This record gives sequence, C-alpha cells and structure tokens, in this order.
Amino acid sequence: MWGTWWVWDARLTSELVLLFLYLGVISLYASFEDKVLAARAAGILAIVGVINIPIIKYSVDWWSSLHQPSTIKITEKSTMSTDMLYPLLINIFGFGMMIGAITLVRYRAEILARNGMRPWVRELAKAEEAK
Amino acid sequence: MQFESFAEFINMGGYGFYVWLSYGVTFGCLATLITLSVRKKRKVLIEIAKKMTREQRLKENRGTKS
Repeated sequence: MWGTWWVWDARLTSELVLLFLYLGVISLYASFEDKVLAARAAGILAIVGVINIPIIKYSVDWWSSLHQPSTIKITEKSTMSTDMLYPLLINIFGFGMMIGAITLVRYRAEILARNGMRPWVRELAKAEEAK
Repeated sequence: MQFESFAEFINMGGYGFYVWLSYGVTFGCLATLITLSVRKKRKVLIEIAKKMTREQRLKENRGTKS
C-alpha cells in the first residue's frame, strides 16, 4: 500500500531518532548503580529529547514525504473519513488510559522498592511472604 | 468495506503477513508489559521479605558466635 517497508522520509526518520532516544534513556537508567542518580541522568536526557516531539509532529508539513499530511485537525473538519477517524480517536484514548494505568502500577512497585527499610513496607513484605 | 469470507479476512487483501505480524508483535509486547508490571509488586515485596530473613539470620549468628 505504501509500496515499501522503509524510506528515509521526514516522519519515519524522526521517529527512528525517537526510538534511539528511548533506548538511550533506558540504557542510561540501567547503567547507574544508584537509582536516584540514574533517574536524574535519564530525566535530563528525556527533557533534551522532548525537542524531537514537535519535530515529528510538524515534519509531515515541513518536508514533503511518503506520509500524508495531517488529517486530524483540531480547528477544522478532519480530512479523514469518520469510519476511520472515530476508531482511531478511541484507540488513542484507550492507549492513553492503558499507559496511565501501567504507570501507576509500576509506580507502586517502585515506591515499595525505594522504601524497603521503612516499617510499613516491612509489614507489607511479611504479609506477602505469609501468603 | 467488507470481507467475503474468513479466509479473506486472514489474507487481508494480500497484506495478511504484514498486518498479522504487526498485530502479533504489538499484542505480545503489550501482554508482556502488563503481566510483568502487575507481577513486579509481588516480586518486590518477596525480595524485601527475603532480605529481612537474611538480616535476621545474620543478627542471630553474630549473637551466638561472639
């Protein structure tokens, strides 16, 4: 349909850069022993990488490419037909909710890990072991 | 747009391999992420409990040896 698996056009290339930024953040976090320091370094890399997001969004308008220009518009009527647009918007919302839920679940585990010495965590651990 | 039969649905107009491969990889990654995240909490608590029993044993040994 697109006619190819890969081209070096604006959107795909900037999304490849995004993938490398993700891998960089993950490996930077994993390479530190002290997790507080690790979080700080990975956070700085993530903040620097935010510049890539508007580049991805507007890359389709700035460079002519294989990808079609934006079809979901906020102020005017969208150029995508509704039988494709509504499922897409529902999916975007669903993925957003799922990512929020997974983040909260992992946040809970992280808080427990960081506070391992506190008495309230030790009680929870004892209760979990007894199960 | 309708597919005539289930076999045609699997074929996806000739693009079946690409579509189902993408679906499979996405679904596999998401399932792995969800199960690992949910099991992480229990794993963290068990680790802490193990460390506590280890510390308890060390304290007892230090008491009996000296």
